[in-house]
Amino acid sequence: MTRLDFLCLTPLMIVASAPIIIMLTITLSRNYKVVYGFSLFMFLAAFLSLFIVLPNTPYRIAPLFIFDNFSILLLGAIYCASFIITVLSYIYLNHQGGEREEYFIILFVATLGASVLVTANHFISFFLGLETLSISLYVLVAYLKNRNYCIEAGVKFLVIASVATAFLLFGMGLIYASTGTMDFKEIGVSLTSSGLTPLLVAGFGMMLVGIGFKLALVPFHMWTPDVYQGAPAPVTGFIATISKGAVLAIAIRFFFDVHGYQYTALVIIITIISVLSMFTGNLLALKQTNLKRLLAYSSIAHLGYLLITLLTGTSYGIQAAVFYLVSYMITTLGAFGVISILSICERDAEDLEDLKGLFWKNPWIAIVMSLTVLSLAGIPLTAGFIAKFYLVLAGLKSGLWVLAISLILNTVISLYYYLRVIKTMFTVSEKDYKLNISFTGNLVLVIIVIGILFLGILPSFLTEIISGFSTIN
Amino acid sequence: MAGGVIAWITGKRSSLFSRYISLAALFIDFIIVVFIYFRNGINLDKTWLIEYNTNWIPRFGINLHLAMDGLSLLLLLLTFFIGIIAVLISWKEIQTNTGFFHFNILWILSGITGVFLSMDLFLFYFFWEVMLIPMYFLIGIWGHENRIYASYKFFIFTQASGLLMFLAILGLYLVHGNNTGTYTFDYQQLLVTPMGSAMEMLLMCGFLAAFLVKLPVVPFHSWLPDAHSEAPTAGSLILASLMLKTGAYGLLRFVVPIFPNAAASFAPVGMALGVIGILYGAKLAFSQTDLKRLVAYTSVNHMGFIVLGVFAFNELAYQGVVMQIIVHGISTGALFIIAGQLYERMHTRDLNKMGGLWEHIPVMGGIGLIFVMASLGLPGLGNFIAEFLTLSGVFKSSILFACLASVGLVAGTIYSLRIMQKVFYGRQNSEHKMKDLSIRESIALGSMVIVIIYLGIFPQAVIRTAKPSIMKILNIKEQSFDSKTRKVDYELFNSVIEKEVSKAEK
Repeated sequence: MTRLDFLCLTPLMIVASAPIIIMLTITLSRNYKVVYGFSLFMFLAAFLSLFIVLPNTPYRIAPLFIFDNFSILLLGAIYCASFIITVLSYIYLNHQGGEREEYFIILFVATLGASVLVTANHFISFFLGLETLSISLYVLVAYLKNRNYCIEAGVKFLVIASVATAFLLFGMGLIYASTGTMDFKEIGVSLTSSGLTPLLVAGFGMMLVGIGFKLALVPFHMWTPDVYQGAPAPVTGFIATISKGAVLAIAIRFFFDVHGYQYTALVIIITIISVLSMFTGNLLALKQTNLKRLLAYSSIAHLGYLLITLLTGTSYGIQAAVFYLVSYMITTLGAFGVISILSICERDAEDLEDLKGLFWKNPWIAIVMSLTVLSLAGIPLTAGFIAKFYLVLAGLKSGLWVLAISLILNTVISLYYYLRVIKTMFTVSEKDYKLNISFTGNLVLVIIVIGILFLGILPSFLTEIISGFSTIN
Repeated sequence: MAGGVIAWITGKRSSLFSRYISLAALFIDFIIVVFIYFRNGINLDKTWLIEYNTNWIPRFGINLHLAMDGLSLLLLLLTFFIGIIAVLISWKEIQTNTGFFHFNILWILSGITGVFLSMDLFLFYFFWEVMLIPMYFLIGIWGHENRIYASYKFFIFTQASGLLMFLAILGLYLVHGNNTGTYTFDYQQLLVTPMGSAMEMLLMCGFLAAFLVKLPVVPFHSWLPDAHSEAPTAGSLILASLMLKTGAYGLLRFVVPIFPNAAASFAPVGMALGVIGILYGAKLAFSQTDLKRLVAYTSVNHMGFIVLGVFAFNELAYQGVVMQIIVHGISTGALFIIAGQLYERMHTRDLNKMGGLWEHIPVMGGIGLIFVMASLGLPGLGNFIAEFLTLSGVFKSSILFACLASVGLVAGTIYSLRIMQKVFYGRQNSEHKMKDLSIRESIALGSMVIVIIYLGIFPQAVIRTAKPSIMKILNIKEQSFDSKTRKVDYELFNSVIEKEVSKAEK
């Protein structure tokens, strides 16, 4: 390995070293606050180290990793999100007793898995990253062992995700068997010469099942609501943002590298999955009274929207995906941030009832929640609007009218349940809120609000950065 | 200027003096617009009276482009006038969360202002949506019994249609980009987009969806009575007087000039829809027992005239449309205020429980009489001019529709008189002891009376201000009507308009 290799791997190494250090300190003495502070510091360090990598892009560490603008930006987003989730977890776990320090160790491992996924361009690193991410997520989901739902969600997640992994692995095997390579680019090259043989179709299909499970696309979405509901709120936030974002990033990279959008069979399958996800997600969300389940179904729909970018096959599509992912991450973190902050020690504030009358009792939290919900719905002045605009534009540019129209239709459907959340907060209720939100909690919410509004009003900041993402190399 | 409005709003959210502050903010805006009006009083024939243009999202060719011509100037005057009145009349009605209430009012108004000013389609859509959310809150929080249902219906109807327009805007953007190589949302450049006729029709339908729902035209009108009757008085006032007008404005500003050929082929359907709106609105208005719903259906009736006029494509009809936009804003707005004030005093909107109120509240009755007369189109009041101009314009292009619409006028008389009969005349049904108008209410309604009479007697002020913009719209339409290529030099137009206007001045 050369010096430059090490330099580029710094962010990953920082994230990898953190759990070891925390583990060592725990053996000496447990201190929740110290571990928390150290975690924040390490995420910050990882984020800052990206600026060291930045001048060297695109840089390839053969054969496993690639550092280009796409992966650097997403790494940045992931570290920012991890930072915020750390703060939220601290606030959330503060109510819980017991041993909480290990939580942060696993958080780091999961983040490491996500970072590997984002930078991977080889089946080996793809699989390693995915497993690191998934296995640590099983633990995180079931972390609060005295809650029934938590254990149930953890087991469910474990079983289903393992099945998905098996499918993915089998798919990779089939593709490797017929192309003889595990490198994304080389697979693409051999595809263009050989065409889409039945074996390859089977391979891609298997991989799609695996990825579909991880991204919770219809018809592989069944686990999502249960896991979202059962997992502690910050962990749900992690699954919704970092885990799904990273898996989608690798899916995009893989699909673009093998030029998947050129093969009709793949395009048709993905179109169907995308449209199904949009409709199923939104229709099932309509009647939900549990906020976390509602967000789960809404995330199914959002991932359906994001699939559009896979089919565009243009640089526009990649840019739209990045923009959408970033704004979706901020927005979702806002929603789960509010839930985490409102949660009390025995249970999460996950029923819509818990939000009732929030506006009259605590307008600030209610406004944050309204903003995030409006952003999810794609209302102007918020990041979600510009993101949706970008997405529709990218879709239309590639002539994907069916998908664009189905997105618009779904936006209308989704309005109904998003408005219901807002309505609940504005209904007068007698319930008493005794909230004392810590300074850091408020700070995080302020950051999220600024992020949503900033991307909504002055999106040119981000659009200019990502406008260079013409190809993934 | 719209930016100024927003700045004021953010500053005032939690303040206890929100009423005074919002009143002051609107008043300042009003003064600014009046000032612009008088400063440009002499040469109204410039392309834009005021223009502001800067990059917003250069990645997509989106500019922050605001501009004002005669048409938008008039509409802005109306906006701020009605805005002031809305704040005045909700002085007593709204007692909970006044800060948030006024925040919403000002946001709606700034959204509407933005719609009237933006010269960039993306920006236009942006403002179009911005005004929805606060309106949703306004209905949903301060409305009457059935408010939640009404607010949902309102929001989903308008949002769904708005999204169709959004799709059409993007379509237009791409068509323009593909054919000319520059990707831009700028209004002036999109005006000369070359496109095939099927494409033109398709895109126009997207725009029409938004504007016709907003207006509303008959098959899409069902959100309106609910939203109007459940909203608080200020909400109904803004909905009827201003928000519906954004639809009319959109038709004039976007549909006709950007899609002239498609609009021309759509004209018979459009006019038929207008006539149906006139007759159907009048019929439904007649059979209502809820005062606010009745007034809401009169809006459907009056908006029919606007659609009819827009698709008549001649100057007379367009003058009528502009006039109708303004006077309908004032007369229907005033009727909603009266309904609201009756509700404040009697706690009912049921016509059958009213009657014989003239004895108790003669001043309100008198003012009510004036506006009822205005809404049925009595000569001497503004609505007469508007309907007369529209009808005579329509007569030129289609005698059949003009005759049918005139029948609507008669129907209008019937339902209007029914308001007077049921509310103010007849047997006394209730033992309410009521106070007549307070000074604050008198100021609000009195100023509206003055305006409507003034417009009835001196309509020239409006006609002269709107003339250049109307000529421009019509010119664009005619030019491209002849040539199929639609590559028209915009500057050339202006010189033609200038000549025509100076001729007309003489």
